[in-house]
Amino acid sequence: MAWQSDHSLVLRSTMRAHLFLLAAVALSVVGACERPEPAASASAVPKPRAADRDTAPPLPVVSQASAQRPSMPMVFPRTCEGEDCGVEFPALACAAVELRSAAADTAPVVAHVAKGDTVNVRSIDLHVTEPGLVVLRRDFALDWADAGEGRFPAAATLRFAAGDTVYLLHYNELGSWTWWYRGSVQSGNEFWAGPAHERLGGVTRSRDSSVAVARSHPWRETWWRVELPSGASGWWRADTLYSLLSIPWMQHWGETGCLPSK
Amino acid sequence: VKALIDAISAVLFERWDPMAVRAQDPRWPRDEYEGYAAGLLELMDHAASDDVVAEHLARLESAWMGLEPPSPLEHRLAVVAELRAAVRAARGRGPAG
Repeated sequence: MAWQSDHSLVLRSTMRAHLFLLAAVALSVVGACERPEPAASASAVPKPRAADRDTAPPLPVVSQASAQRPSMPMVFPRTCEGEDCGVEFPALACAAVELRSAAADTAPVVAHVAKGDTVNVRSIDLHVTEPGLVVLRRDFALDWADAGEGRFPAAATLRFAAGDTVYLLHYNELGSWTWWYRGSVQSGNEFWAGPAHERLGGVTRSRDSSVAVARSHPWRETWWRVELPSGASGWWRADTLYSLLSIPWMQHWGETGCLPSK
Repeated sequence: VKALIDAISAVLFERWDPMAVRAQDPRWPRDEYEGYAAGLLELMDHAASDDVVAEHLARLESAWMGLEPPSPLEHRLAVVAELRAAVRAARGRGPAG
């Protein structure tokens, strides 16, 4: 995908350059990842709350036309979130780590990384395990993009209907997200607000909840394909303790060791 | 307000620069991080503590730029101190904004 980089801390371009990129990905389709399911039950669709805390009108009844949920988990190979994220870099093992034969907690352990070892991260796969939910309050045409320096025309116009649900999959960069809508994967600018907004990127700081509100954020896991000096390799699900720590990150910030344990 | 945004943007470029663009290319546009300035100004104008502003910087780094882990806390707190000084100086130079 266009927003990926192949190595850590390789700088890609300014926000200005990303304006073009953002327009280019405005209607990308990730064919390999999508597999429509039969329509989900009504219980899977978020119901409007009786009293929203903002002043926008209440949510309309959720349309069944958009109730089809994407199949989970959805895997995006060699994908990470953010404009400067990387999918290949050397890393230091700050704790003992087990590598699995596949990117799944149930896969057998095929290798061990000892604390203090240096390894190479060869790829990062993004697994979406639960989509976030955005509900449309009114009909809306997304015909613009905004990477933080003002709106500009998007390459394609995406149209949404009042009551529809947009299933958030993952964040791309600079306010751009990938989502599932009516059976296809699309990308475009964040256009919603709402209680969950602050956990959903939110840096574009859209306060306009009259268009759409976010009800939840997507749950994602990142799996690193790790290669040992011996050539053995396996998958590790990234933790929040930074058990494997990017060496370019350490060099950039002048850190000489692992982070203190939380 | 433009003067405030410029002042914050300058500190973000000179002192924060989590993507290290300044070292990468001396001709890099100095407004690289300007898009984050308004949000930071809003936080500071609403009496956010240093910790809160520093946490916001971390969130920008990780959620917005994909940099994990975020930069060290001491560094972010030092940036926040300079941001506050820059805002004070910018307000002292011109009409209240």
